[in-house]
Amino acid sequence: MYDILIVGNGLAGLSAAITCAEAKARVLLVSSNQPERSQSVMAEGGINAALDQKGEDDSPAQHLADTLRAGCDLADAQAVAGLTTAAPEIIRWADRLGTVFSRDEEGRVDQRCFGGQKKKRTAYANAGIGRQLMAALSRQCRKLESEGRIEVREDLRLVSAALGDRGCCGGVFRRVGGGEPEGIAAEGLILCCGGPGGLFGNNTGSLLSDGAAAAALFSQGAAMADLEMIQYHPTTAAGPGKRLLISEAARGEGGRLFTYKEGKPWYFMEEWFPEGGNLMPRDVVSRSIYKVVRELGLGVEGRDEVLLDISFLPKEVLDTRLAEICRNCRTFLGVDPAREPIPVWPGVHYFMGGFYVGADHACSIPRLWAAGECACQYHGANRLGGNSTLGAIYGGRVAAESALGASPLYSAAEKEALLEREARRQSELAAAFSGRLRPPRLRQELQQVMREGMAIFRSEEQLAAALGRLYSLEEEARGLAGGAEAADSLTLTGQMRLARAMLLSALARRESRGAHQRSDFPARDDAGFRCVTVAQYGADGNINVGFRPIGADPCK
Amino acid sequence: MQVILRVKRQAGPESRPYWQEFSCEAGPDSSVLSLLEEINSSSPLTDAAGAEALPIEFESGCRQMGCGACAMLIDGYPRLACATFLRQLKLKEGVITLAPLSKFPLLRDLHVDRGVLTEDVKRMKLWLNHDAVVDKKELPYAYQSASCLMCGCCAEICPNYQAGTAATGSAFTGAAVMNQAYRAASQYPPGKERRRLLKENVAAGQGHCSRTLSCLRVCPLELPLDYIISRGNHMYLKSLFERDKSHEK
Ligand SMILES: Cc1cc2nc3c(=O)[nH]c(=O)nc-3n(C[C@H](O)[C@H](O)[C@H](O)COP(=O)(O)OP(=O)(O)OC[C@H]3O[C@@H](n4cnc5c(N)ncnc54)[C@H](O)[C@@H]3O)c2cc1C
Ligand code: SF4
Ligand code: SF4
Ligand code: FES
Repeated sequence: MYDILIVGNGLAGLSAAITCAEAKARVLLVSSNQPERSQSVMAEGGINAALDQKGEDDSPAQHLADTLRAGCDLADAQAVAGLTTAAPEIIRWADRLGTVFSRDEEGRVDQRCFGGQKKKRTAYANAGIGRQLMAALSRQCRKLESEGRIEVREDLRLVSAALGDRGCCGGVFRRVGGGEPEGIAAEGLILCCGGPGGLFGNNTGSLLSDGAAAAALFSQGAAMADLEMIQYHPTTAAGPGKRLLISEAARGEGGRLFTYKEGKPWYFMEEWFPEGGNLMPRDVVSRSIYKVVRELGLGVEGRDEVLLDISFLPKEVLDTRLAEICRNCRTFLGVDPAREPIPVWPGVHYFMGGFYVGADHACSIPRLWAAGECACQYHGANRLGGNSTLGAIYGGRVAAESALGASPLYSAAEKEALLEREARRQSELAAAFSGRLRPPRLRQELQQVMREGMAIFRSEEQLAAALGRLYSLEEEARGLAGGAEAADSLTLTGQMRLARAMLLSALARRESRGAHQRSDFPARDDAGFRCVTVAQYGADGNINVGFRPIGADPCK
Repeated sequence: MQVILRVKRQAGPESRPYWQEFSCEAGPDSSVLSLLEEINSSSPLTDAAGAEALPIEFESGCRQMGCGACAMLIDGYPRLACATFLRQLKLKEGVITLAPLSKFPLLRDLHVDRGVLTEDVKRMKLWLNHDAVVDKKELPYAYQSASCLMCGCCAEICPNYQAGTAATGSAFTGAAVMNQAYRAASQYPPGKERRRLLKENVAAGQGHCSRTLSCLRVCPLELPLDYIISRGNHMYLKSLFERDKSHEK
């Protein structure tokens, strides 16, 4: 019996768990893997905070303004103010825990330039901030675990939440590698399960962030917000079966984007945006690259590619601050960035949308919280590089604080009954599959549909076509395999439902803002759409998409 | 080209292992991981003889040498499947042999439980009870040691490593855990706590390490394990003569 159950051990989950343990709550941290494997370890470029130590007169208020501007005024200003105010202290905390940040001459945490921000505000650790933060936070968690202040399971996958009429009372899990659903009771559940990259495939993230948990909770009625807001990172390369991220750090350190025009290098970002240049916010850079290739027909050798040049940077910068990037290029692309430019094209990278939460990270269902990339908070219509590791750590903390001290909603016996009922329901749903179609095949088709439907530019026609294809995949899904693959079949049908909600959200927002660009509605429309897109799955099997004011309480 | 993937399979820790062959189409730049994914996503899934087969179980995540999940024995050598390309393999008669890491408890097929590495970290209490201090000289190595993927390749190849159980840990922890001991020690000021960590590391780490440096050769990140191991030793010897400075300042 736990006070708080946390699912996912990326930065958000670890931060939530540490907060709970320090408040002496009985907390269980569950994940399907050890923290060393979480997508958070992949973060490269850095983490933002207005430490104001570069003599540039920086402040949390400017960090707030930059975040809101990049998010095209769709983020909740009050929540973001909390984030940017807490940021400097979060860096100092991570530093005390032993995160190995890169240092300046005076031995202070160094900071670099990142897109969409004029000040040097991104604290970094060469090109491996995620690994370093995770090493420090997971070490702290293990210490708390050995002191008996956190319990940890690293072999369970969340399949659903146990919900009664008053709210959530725990989760239902399956053991990794098979086994029947089993329930774990708690007064509250914090979801830190990462973004739904698995709905798209060929993205920059980890296969572990598959969106299955979010899809399951969506199917149970949790509302989702701004699902149409998907960040294409402007500089990703064609790796083996995935888009390999070339971190913004490459441009932060001076890297330049170009293509060939009339045989000569053309630095289009510098020409089009003399001030921001290569470091404009990500949505702007992605659209510019798209324009160069698709509209001007200037892709390198006719391919969907432009070039990113870092070869002229000092060797010392390439070998330290950009070491991981250079290594990845050599290993996975066969490109040596010290000698030749890197071919890049925008790729699916980050999800600004997710669980509809308030400033306290509470979801639309009582006793359910969400933090990190799975939640819709802080980033609006476009996320600033360096703000999501920050948002994950801060969000995990806020979610934990608001979950702490929740008084029991149900008696122990009621909880038991609800958990048992949900576990039984999950077994029955899985047992209904008895076809021959293997889930991985159909999942690949789903991913194809989503990549085409939710491309950088969208239109009614394109989205409707994707929706049509998705309906027929959902039809085909009735023939999915049972037996050993039944659980995966069930997961896939959930993922399809969440995918449908994304397409419907994109259809509903008939304007262009940040990451959501409609070729049929090219203008931003503040009067009509400066509000949150909310998608909800109803008991009738339909998905309802509506709009709510920014900053409203999801529970009301 | 056509290749045969020869995979060691085992339904569970108590089941009998067997070998199964799968055939697939691949190029020199295909990674071993992409072949496994290809096989697992075919419908129906059949082995080289055309018989229906169960999906192959293995771990993966980042697909870019960043998470350590996909370590396995590839032609007998511990490597990351996502960062091992066909052009690097001998491909004798077009065959690639895949087996689980042998030093860790098997869960199923190529999936093993590397939790024992974490158990060692906990048993040896390799963490800070003090705010981290920054020793500029150690910083680059502390960075490298924190980059460790906990993939277990170093432990697999090490002549002296034999994993214990989750309850007991192993007698000798291997390079990955020595790494963690070094990093924690380098973040303490000289004094009692640092000495404790270093002593712990001598008892369960360096004391058993014969400096063959096989670990260095297999580490996918080419971490400077030789430096880290000898640095740990150096810090230990020094600590025997040091005053306790952790309460000063
Ligand atoms: C290549 C790359 C580079 C990036 N670089 C930066 C950067 O420089 N700066 C920045 O700010 N951001 C960056 N980001 C984004 C940032 O890393 C992530 O948004 C952030 O780390 C997300 O943390 P999280 O805790 O929300 O989720 P994750 O780290 O994704 O963790 C989710 C966890 O939940 C687990 N989980 C998922 N489903 C289940 C389930 N059903 N049951 C149990 N467990 C489950 C997963 O296995 C995982 O352990 C980058 C992202 C990528 C992909
Ligand atoms: S140096 Fe040799 S004995 Fe020591 S950890 Fe490495 S492989 Fe093992
Ligand atoms: S030291 Fe290298 S081989 Fe060993 S676990 Fe770490 S990354 Fe893997
Ligand atoms: S999949 Fe992450 S290291 Fe291979």
